[in-house]
Amino acid sequence: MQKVYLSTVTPVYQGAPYLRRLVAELAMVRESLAREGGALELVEAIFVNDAAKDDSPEILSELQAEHSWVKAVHLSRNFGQHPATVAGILHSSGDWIATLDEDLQHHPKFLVSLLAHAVAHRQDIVYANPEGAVHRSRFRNVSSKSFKALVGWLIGNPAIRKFSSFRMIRGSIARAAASVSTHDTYFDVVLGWFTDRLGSLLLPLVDVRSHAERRSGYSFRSLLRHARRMLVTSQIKLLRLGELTGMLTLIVSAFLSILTLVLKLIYPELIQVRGWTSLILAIAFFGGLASLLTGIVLEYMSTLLQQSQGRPAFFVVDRSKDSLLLPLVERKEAQ
Amino acid sequence: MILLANSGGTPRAPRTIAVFGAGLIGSAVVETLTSRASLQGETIPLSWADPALQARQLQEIEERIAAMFARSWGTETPSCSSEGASLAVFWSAGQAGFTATEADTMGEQSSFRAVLSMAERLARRFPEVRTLFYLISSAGGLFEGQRHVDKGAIPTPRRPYGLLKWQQEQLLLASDAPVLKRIYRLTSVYGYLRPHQRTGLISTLLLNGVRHKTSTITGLMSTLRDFIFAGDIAGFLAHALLEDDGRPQESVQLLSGGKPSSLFEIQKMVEAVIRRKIYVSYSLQPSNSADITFSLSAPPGWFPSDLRSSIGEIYREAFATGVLFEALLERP
Repeated sequence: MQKVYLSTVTPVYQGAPYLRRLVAELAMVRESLAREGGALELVEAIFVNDAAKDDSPEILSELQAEHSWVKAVHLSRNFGQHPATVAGILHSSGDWIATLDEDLQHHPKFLVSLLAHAVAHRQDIVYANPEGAVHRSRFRNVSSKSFKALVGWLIGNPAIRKFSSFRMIRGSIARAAASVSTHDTYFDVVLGWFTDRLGSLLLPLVDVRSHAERRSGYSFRSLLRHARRMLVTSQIKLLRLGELTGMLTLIVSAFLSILTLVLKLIYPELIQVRGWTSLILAIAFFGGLASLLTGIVLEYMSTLLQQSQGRPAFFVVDRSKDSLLLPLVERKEAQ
Repeated sequence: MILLANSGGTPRAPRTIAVFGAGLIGSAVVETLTSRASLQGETIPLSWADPALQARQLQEIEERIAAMFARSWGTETPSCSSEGASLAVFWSAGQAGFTATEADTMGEQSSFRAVLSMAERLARRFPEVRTLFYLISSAGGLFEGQRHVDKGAIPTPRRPYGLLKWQQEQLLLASDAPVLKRIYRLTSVYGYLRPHQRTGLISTLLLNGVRHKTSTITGLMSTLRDFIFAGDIAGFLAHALLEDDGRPQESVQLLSGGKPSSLFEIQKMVEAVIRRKIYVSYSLQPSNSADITFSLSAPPGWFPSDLRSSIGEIYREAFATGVLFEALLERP
């Protein structure tokens, strides 16, 4: 029987209290899939130790010894969540890859639902979005949403609202995106270079860590870091707006200059103040020219940056194995 | 073939290593062996195309090895002073690649039989000498289309090349001569650039990238392979050749990296190393597109290197040795 393999990737930084439970939950999903006897198999769970500051590395080594399907990748220093996710993806071999956090906020019981949603809607990426408020703090929830909306508007990418670290990604696309990711790229934006078939699924997600420990894994600083990465990886819409404004100013000032010149020649008595009009027009003209040229230079730089980051001209994908998962989709829909 | 023998440091324990196939792996093993042990190498011509000539040459090689032992013992008949003497026959030969037809593999198979027979004759002739046969097999050929292959996986070759490797393994294991059998199944090997030598995918991409030539890949951008570095293999096998204590009687080991890499990932890595875009054409009907992935094998002493740093090392070495400049001069 032809199989469809699912891999999971979990970056680990301070997950010691959760890792055993997470692996136990993954084991339950794995066993349940095996019992059902379908085409889907959870073949590996990859944990990326991002220089964890607690006992996670030791726990991971124990779990790896206990379960042949648990794999630990140890990074040499703390690189951050996105690079750790990229490292895990590059060690995976599944036809589909699910990325999930260490703290059970992203419960493995939703993996099959995410995959079924992706197959049913012919998508390459499905983000899990919370049905309600995910964090305890209302401020945290509102700021997170507003932040995403603002950055989405700035870079002209409305999909940002769906972004979440709990995602189901087609393996080939995830690995391709991971292959071109650098230390400064935003992984989800890079995924968008390879596919526009992305969707989201509302799930009852709860920030277990923040509820239990009364603190969040993310700080305002990390939020700003995320924003910076997104802006660096994307072509910024604001740039084009600036360019457009510069061009309009240039055209209007050129038009007004001609008009003023014509008026001065035909009706010299109309212009009373000497020098003011030409000064304003010169400022508008050169200001517009400078804005336009700066916009063009910045756009060139942005294009070069994206090229150096590895944005591909095209990518080929094979979705033929999705048909093997149709019974799973039907089962999920029947539930 | 290359015949290696120790150069007199321990005359009571003559050690001879006969390497058949000095390609990507064979040459790396010989390089490592000569740098680690006081072994002297001699290249002996061996025809792969003319069976009659090959038979004569193998006869001469056999006599030469016999004479080496005799010289070490100071007599034609080895006896009490033969303790520790060893003969290792190392087979890493093969012109046939993944796309070989059945006819292409027949020549290699008969050469393998001839070399194995020579090793068997020598083992029977010198029972005091510990005779070992090292066979370099292909995990990709044996497990084509299989995923998450580990040491317990059952080979299911799909094409003549895989079948050839499987039959070679079976022939060796079925041998009733007093030969210790060592089989190493290697995943996709990449190694240093050497002029006029068969190169793997990575070296080809590097070379063609420098020459602005298009590389044609008979796989998909998403095709997964498990790449291992010839330098790591050479280090591991040289240690095995030098330190083999004769146990067990036979062993089959999988040497894998455990990290699947898509061909697209390799393309991007090569581009990053040579700092320029490379031209790659992926086949429309790829004959070699099935994913083959492996769990990390962990025989003692096996430490696969990081892919990115090894590619960088290959590139730097190719610059230092002038291979890249030669390649540029060859540019049409």
